[in-house]
Amino acid sequence: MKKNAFTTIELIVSFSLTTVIALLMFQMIISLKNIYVKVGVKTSLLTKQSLISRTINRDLDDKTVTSLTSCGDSCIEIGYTDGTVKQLKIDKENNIISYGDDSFKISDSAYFGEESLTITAFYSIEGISYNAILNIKIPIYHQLYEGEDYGLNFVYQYNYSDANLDEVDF
Amino acid sequence: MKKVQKNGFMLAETLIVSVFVLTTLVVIYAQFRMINSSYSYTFKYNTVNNIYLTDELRSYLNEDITSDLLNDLESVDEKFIEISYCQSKYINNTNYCNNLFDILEINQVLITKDDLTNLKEALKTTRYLDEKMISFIDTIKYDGLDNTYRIIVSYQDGTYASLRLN
Repeated sequence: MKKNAFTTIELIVSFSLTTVIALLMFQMIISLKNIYVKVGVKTSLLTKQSLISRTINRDLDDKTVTSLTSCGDSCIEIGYTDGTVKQLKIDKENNIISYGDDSFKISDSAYFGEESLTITAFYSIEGISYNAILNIKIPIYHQLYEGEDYGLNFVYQYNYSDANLDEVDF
Repeated sequence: MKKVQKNGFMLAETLIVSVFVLTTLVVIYAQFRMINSSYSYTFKYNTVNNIYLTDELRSYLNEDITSDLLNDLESVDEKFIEISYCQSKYINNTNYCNNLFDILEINQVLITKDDLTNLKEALKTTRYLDEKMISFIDTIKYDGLDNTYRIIVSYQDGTYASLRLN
């Protein structure tokens, strides 16, 4: 019986199969690693977004804004009816955003976009308690997610007869 | 004494091991995909920032929707009313509404009853909404409060949020 010829073919087939499996495994591990890294980055970005959002929105929900003052580049001071004044500042060089006594450092691979502050007032509103909208936008981007904004969008509706806020440079 | 031929088993053994390894890989991959899609839900649905934005919308809608909206909601086949365009039939101050929607970066706003059972049933037969919105609606749970309404919002960045109207 000539078994040796079959052994060679079997060896080739075995090696081919092993190579295919090894390649598939390798590709899958690379793909899973990429997903793992991206998910980790996204989790970190959204966690920071949530923390900052909660800190600032808690004040905007509970208090009434009475004044807005510029305090330099990427810095505004927000005054509230209870007499407190909190500084909202973005340190773009060190990737730090601070509000009052709280500071948040975002990932080094992330970066801030162009922040903005706008006030839209309506002079012919009837039947609702709001007639003006203060909007503060602080975009945050990450190299791994080009074009996706993980920043902050604060919307504060108020009545301009209660607080006559003016747009300030931010 | 007859010599035992062991070489013949090599291919079969490789095939068995290959199938076993591949099956294991497929199972691991499927599990990982499932975990990954669960993460996607967390990233896209009801993020803290979106909940605050939706709460601003809710504060406004509580004051500015017309009685027509709630009346029509009782009769429409779709079981929801879309107010993404601030129609004057449903919104009193349409200019304010349009500006607010722009600032909030809203893509679509639906008003439904808090009990979404009928809406979910209606969506099974007729696809009134896009698949992503339907997937989000499927995740919303009803906790048994009668006669309440719900706002469902999709944002321009592909995220979704929902809150009960007061």
